[in-house]
Amino acid sequence: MKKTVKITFLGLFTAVALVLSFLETLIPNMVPIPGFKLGLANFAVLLALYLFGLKEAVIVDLCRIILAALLFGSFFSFWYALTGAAFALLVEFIIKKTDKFSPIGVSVFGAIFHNLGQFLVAVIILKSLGILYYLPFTLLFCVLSGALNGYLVLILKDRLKFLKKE
Amino acid sequence: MKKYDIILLAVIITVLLPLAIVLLNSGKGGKAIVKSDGKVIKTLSLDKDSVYTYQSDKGFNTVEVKDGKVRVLEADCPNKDCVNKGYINKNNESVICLPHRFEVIVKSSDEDYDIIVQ
Repeated sequence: MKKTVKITFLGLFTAVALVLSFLETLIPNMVPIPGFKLGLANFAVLLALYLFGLKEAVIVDLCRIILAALLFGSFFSFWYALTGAAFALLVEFIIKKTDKFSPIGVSVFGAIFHNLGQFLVAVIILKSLGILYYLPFTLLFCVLSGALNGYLVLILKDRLKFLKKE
Repeated sequence: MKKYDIILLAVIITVLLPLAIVLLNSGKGGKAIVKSDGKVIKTLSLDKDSVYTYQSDKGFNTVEVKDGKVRVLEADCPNKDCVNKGYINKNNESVICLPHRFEVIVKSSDEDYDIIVQ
């Protein structure tokens, strides 16, 4: 594949992820976890993982997180986003390798670990387990959005197959 | 969608949905425990309206008890997530402020892990 085509698509994925990240900030926060999001932007990252590979997925994810923190985030939201995203992407990469799950399962695993990563940070900072009360609710939400993300990737990775072959 | 996807989703939903329903139906709490850096610094009764401000080296959080509910009224943290959370009154619900390492948890009055002298 031509390098320019790849760079263009990675830029597009980052732009889509950034817009979705912004839209999420407009949804009122239902749980008291700073930085808790439904994770809609994750599908662009997962798509990069399926079409190109781990390195490219990391690039899209990092660009999105840094730009989101600079444009509408804060120092704190940056670190929570980074921890969650690192957990999620690592798990997605491993689960995808096993080849037992479709993108839907891979995405759900990523969403769960994104969530657990953020709770872990909150528990460590607060030195208190009280916040775990909210874990079942946030997990249910993120499993739903994770499945939706996975479904999008499932459709799009076949439509965008030509990117792989070139 | 593969076989394992369906198993995964089925397991998650059967485990989490009943748990979430049980937690949603937990009764009203009777007191609010204010914690900073993991340590209990104040216990407020939800039966009596009150305002309490805690100042640490990281900043301040003002907690308000009103009509049996509690919220963080004001804070000087950067994101104001604690203020935006609004009122809580169910057993085990909490408001946290990560930048200040500050937490308010609602507990039932008979749950005595610290003795309150009123």
